[in-house]
Amino acid sequence: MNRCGCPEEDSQQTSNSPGIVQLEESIVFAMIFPRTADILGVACLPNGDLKNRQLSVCRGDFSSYAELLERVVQPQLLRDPSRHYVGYHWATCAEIRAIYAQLSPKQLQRQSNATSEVGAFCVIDDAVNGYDAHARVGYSSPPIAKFWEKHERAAARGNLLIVLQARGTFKPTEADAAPLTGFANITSPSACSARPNQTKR
Amino acid sequence: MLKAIETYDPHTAPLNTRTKWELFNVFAVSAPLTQPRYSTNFLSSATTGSSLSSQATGQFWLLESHAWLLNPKILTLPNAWVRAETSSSLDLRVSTILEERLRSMKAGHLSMAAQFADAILFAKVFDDALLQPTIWTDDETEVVLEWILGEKRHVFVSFEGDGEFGYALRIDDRFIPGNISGAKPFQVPSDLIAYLSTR
Repeated sequence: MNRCGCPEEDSQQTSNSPGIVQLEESIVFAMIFPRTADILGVACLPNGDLKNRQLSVCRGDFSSYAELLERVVQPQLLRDPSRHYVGYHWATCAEIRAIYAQLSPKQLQRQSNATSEVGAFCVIDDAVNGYDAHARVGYSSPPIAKFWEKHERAAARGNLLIVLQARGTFKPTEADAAPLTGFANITSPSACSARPNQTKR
Repeated sequence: MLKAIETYDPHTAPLNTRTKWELFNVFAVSAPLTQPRYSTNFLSSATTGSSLSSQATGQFWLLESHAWLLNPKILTLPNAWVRAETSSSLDLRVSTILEERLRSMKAGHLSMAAQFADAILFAKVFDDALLQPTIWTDDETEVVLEWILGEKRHVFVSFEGDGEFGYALRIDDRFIPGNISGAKPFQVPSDLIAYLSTR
C-alpha cells in the first residue's frame, strides 16, 4: 500500500497529541447526521470535511466517552443544530488506512504501476483545545496530477463507511468517564457489543 | 403547438441579457431526448405562459438560468439557446416526484443553489418508475441522493454544484466508482439505472 498521499502521518502534527496515530489504535467516530438523511448512509461522512482532511475522530485509547461527547459531538451539534447524534462506530487505524483508491483505467494508464494501490485516507494526530485524543481523517493527496475523480472519491467514502459500520453502532446509555480503551484487542462484533453500558444496533 | 421564436449564443450574450431569460432557457444536447415528458416537465417551470418546445426538434433541454450562471462548466457543452413561446396552457405539466421533493427542500437551503440546480437537472431525467432516494445536504458542499436498498445494496449520487456529479455503487462488500467519467446532471448513467432496476 502506497501512502505517498499522507506525509502528515509520518510525524507528530500537534505538540500535545500522544504522537502519530499507530496502526493498532482504535479510531472512534461519532455519527452525526442531517435530519433528512438515512442513518445507515454516507451523510455522517461529509465530503467537504474529508476533502479538507478535517473529519473529526477520537483516538479511543486516550479518551472517555464523556470527552467524546463534550469535545467532538457537542461542538458539531452547536455549529449545526439541525443535525443529530445517533451513536458511534469504531475501527482500527489499520483498517482505515487499508482502504485504497480504486482508480479508473484511464487514471491507471496515466500513472505508473507503482501507484496502482494508493491509500485513500489519512489518519492524522490533531490535538485541539486541550483534547489530546482528537485526530482527523481525510482523503489522501498523492503528488499525482488529477489523482482523484469524483466517482473514485465517492467509492472511497462508501468503503470508509463499510469499515466503520463493520462492528455496529454503539450508544452508551451514560456519558461514561472510563477510557474508551481496548477496542483494538476486540476482534469480534459480539465481544465488542458485550462491553458494559453499550447497545449495539 | 409550441414554437421557438429566438436563438442566441450564450457565450457571447451579455450577462444582463442572460438573466432576462430566467426560466426560458434551454440548450440543445447532443443526444435527442425523445420522451414527451421532458418537455412537459419544462413547462411546469414557466410562470407566465411562455415556454419552449422540445417537440420541434426533440433536442432541447431545460437549463434554469441560475444553474447556468453558477455552473459555467455546463456552457462548455455544444449548445444553442432558444427562446420560445407556447399557445398551449400549462396543463401539460407532468411533475416528477424527485424534482418536486428537491424543489421543496431547496427553499430551506439558499446557499446551496448550484448544488440543488444540478440535482434538479438530474431529477428531470430521472425515471419516476425507479426507486426513490433519500435526499440530504450537508448545507456546505453537496446535495446527495442516496438509495439504501438492502444490507449490501447501496448507491449514492453527490452534486457539488460544478456541473458534474460523482456516484458510487456497492457491490457485495465494497463500493465501486461509477462507470461514466465526468457524469453530467442531465443524464442518468446506465450503470446507475441498471443497479436501481435490479430487485
